[in-house]
Formats: sequence, C-alpha cells, structure tokens
Amino acid sequence: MAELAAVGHRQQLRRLQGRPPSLWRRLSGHRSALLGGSIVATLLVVALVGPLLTPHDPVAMSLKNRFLPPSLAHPFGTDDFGRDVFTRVIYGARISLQVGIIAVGIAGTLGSLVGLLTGYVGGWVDAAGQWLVDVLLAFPGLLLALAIIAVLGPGLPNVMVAVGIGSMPAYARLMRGQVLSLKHDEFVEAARVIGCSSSRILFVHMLPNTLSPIIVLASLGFAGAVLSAAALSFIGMGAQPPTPEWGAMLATGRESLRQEWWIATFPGIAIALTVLGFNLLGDGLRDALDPQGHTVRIGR
Amino acid sequence: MLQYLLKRLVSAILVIFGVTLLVFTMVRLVPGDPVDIMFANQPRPTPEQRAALRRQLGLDLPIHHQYLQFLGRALQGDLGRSFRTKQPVTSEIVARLPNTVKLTVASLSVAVLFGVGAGMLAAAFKGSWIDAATMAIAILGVSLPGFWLGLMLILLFAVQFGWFPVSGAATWRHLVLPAVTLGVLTSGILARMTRSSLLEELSHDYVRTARAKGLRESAVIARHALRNALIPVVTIVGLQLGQLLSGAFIIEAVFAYPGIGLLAVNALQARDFPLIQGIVLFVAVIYVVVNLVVDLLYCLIDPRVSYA
Repeated sequence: MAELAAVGHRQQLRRLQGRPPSLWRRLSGHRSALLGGSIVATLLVVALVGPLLTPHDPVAMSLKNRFLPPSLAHPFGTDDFGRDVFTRVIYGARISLQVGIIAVGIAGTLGSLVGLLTGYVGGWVDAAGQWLVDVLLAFPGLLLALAIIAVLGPGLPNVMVAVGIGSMPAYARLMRGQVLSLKHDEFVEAARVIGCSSSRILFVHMLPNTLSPIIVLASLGFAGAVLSAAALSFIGMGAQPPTPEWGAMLATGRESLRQEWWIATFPGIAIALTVLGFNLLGDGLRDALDPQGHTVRIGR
Repeated sequence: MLQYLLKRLVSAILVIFGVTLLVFTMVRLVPGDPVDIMFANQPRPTPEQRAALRRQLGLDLPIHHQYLQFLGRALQGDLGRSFRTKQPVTSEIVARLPNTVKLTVASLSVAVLFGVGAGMLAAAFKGSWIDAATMAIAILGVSLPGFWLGLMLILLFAVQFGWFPVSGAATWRHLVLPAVTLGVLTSGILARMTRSSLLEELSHDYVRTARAKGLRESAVIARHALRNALIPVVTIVGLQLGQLLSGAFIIEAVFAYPGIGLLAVNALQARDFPLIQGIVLFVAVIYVVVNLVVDLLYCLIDPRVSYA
C-alpha cells in the first residue's frame, strides 16, 4: 500500500514537474505495443534456441514420412520430402530475423547517410540527393527490388541487398527532414561556434537527436523487409531449396495445396505473426516517441 | 497554381529521365556479355553472328550513344524484343495492360468499400469494442502476406467450395479472388487512415456546432466530417492506385492472372532482360504520371491547400 502511494506520489510529482515518463513506461502502457513486443521477443527466443525445441533436422529428407498430416509427432505435418514442417518453421525464424536485420541495416545506414549529408550540406548536393531519392521512389512496391535481383541474380544474400536498397529512400527522406529541422537549433550553432568539425556535428551532435523516428521506421521497415523477402523467395528469386525459408516453403506447399494444406498454411501464419509483431511494436514506438501522443497519455 | 503545376511537371520529367538512366544502367550491370545472355539456351553464335548482333543492338557504340539510342527508341515506344518470345516488348506489355487495369479497378473498389467503411465505423464507435475489433482486423490486413492470403482464399473458395476458378482471367469470376486479396491488403491501410482522419475532423468546432444544432451523429459524420476527412484518404487511394496499376506482381503470380505483374515475374524467372527492362521502365513512368495526376487532383479537391 505504502509502495502504491509512493508510486502515485512519484507520478504526481512527475506530472507537476512536466517531466515525461520514460519510454519503457510509455511502451508498457500501450497494449498493442506490448503484444507486438511479446511476439517479437518470442520470435527472438525461437530464433536463438530453435534447435533445442525440436528433435528433427530441417533439411534431412525421409521419403517414408512424406505428406504426413499434423500429429503429435509432427505438429505441423511433413512436406513433400518428409521433412518436419514445424522444425522448418522454427529454423525459418532465424532466417527471417537475419533478412530483416541485414535489409533494415542496409536501408537504415545508406538512407540515413544520404539524408544526413544532403540535409546538412544543402545546395546542389541536396538537390542531387533529392533527385536520386525521387528516382528511387518512382519504383513502386517490390519493383526496385525485382530490378536489383534481375541484375544480381537470385539468392537470399542478393534479396537482402535488393530489399535494403529498395527501402533506402524512405530513410533518406526522413533523415533529411530531421536534419533540416535541427540544422539551425542552438546546440548545433553552439557546436559550430566552438569549432567542431562538420563530421563531429553530424555524427556526434545531430545523429543521436534524429534517431527516434528512424527507430520507428526501422521497426515498421523490419516487417516490410520480412514480407518482401518472403515474397521474393515465393517466386523463386530468394532462398533456394532446401533452405527452410518461409516464403520458399509456401511456394513448395502451393503445389500440393489441394491435399496437403498444412505445408503452405503454417509458414504463412509464421510470416503474418512476425510482420504483425513488428507492425504493432512500430505503432507503439511511434505513439510512445510522439510528443503529442505523450501529452495525451500523461493526462490519463 | 500554374507555377506549382509547372514545377511539378518539370520535377516529374527529371524523375523520368533518372528512371531511364537507371533502367539503362541496370541492364549494363548484369555480369556477362549481352550477346551471350541472349544465346544462353541456344547453340553458341559464330563470330560473324556475334558481330552482326552487337551492331544490331548498338553494343559497338560508345556508352552515351547507346543511352541516347535507347532513349530515342523508348520515346517512340520501341523497348526492344523479348529474348524468349521474340515479340516486341511494347506489344507484350500492351496486351497485358487491360487485365492489370481491370484488377486495379476491382481491387481498389473492394479496398475503398471495406477500408473507408471500417474506418468510419471505428471512428464512430471510438474506444468501444467495435473500434478495437475493426482496428485489430485492419492491422492484421496490413500484416498478412498477400501471397499467403491468396493461397488460403484459393483453398477455401476455389478448392473447397468451388465458387471461383483457381487461375486465369477469362471471366469476371476469375477477377474476384485476386481483387479481394489485393483489396483486403489495401483496405487495412485505408481503414486506419480514415479512422484517424475522421477522428481529427470530429474534434473541430464546426462539428460541435453541427451537434449543438441537434443533428443526429450519423448526419454529423456523413454530411459534415466525412467530406473533409476523406481528403487525405484520397491521397492514399491515389498512391495505392499507382501501386496496383504498376502490377501486383506476386498476387498476379499466385493466381496466374495474365497481367503485367505475372509478365514481370515470368521475365525475371527466364532472365529475359529486354522484357524486364521494358516493364520496369513502363511501370515506373506510369507510377510517376499517376502520382502527378493525383497531386494535381488533390489541389482541386481541397481548396484549403495552398501551392504558392
């Protein structure tokens, strides 16, 4: 009781002082962010300890076990080569996380660099950078990734690069906007006056202040990257057999959809849950990091 | 207004120029000699055949001449010939265009009907279980992999019930499942947008006035708030129109729907570079033009928007 009173007192004090609650506190009060966070955390655990959760090998074939329906021994059934679908879905989590991290890493790093430079330098550099971003944005949806795959050839590493470059313009545009809004702030002027170099101003002073929206975009972008990579694998441009990648597994299951529904169903649910988790987490982060949103929440 | 129009037009032309440059470079970046790629599945050409083909394709010219030649031909609608079918790329694309347009219109209708409807419902019952349920379905719609949803719809409505055909585009019944798949995915975005936009409008003074004079809530929403709330939704619809018209690649592949998307996927699988190059260029230009038109329409729809 005394603890509750103390917490209440602290919250009241915080409200009176106008100090915003911590990000964690704001996130923990956001139901969908909690749900998204839980899904993402489960995915991380599954990806990390995957091999401990199943006795089967994800690629070893067993022709006498072909097309077995879901049972206790094989909760998600087996596929056309007698491989346990549950095991393949579990191992697929690792691949999807890897794809998401690398694709978002490429998009975030390249895009942020372009946005930082064009926004800070201005002039013709900005004009050229914006033109490049506009040109890349002229390729809707998966088109840019498809074009890059056409050049690089099929394969999972190439898909990661293609999806990363394909999502880069959004980061560049967002970062440029952030830099433009901070460029004439007092702390940047102060850094300039005390003789900081441009690179120090950009990377030490401005970059940390621009990261909040980039983190939100990265979370939502992660969902998009997983979806795009699975889509590219589905049409045979990404992971190649026998890699247990969810999109490729769906493509295999498609051929026997009429009789063996389980082969395509479970990898699809895994993709949907992963994308949903990152979307919910991204939404929650956006609300938690949005100053307007936080005013509303403090008032509650 | 005229100044904005001109500025927007110049920027669109510059972007299209950039797109042509990128598409031209793309094919040149493919490892290997284009002549070898053309003869990938055929007997090796003789040196004479090789030289003749290089001349014919303009590969013996300096790179900037090759680009100008490519641009000149593209402006005349000549995007080369498909490696696979030997048909002109332009006629391959034009033959598939009506199917993609049909699918775009059908899926956008589904999306607007469900998306705007769900968004209105959620805003009208803000904070209730209806709001929570509608928004949960909307975020699920955004998160579902389209190709998986398509397969599940095939399994249920084509295989189990036999109501619709599995693939093809011969009749309107072939259009239903791909249109619903694409429509459901887009309606999630529209529902979220409509809800937030309508909630913002409902907090304005003119809505309070409408309520104060005794109007029913349904009339306040339908006659007053919705009109203004739909303006940002129009932008999203426009962007989605561009996306859908550009070929819903994967969904067309799932339903073997013979549109531009399926053509692109097949070209990619066969490494048919002239066709890939042509489709990418065509789709990007269409997308830029549709976005330009939407931007200009937006200007006409919302008199509050200033383009000074």
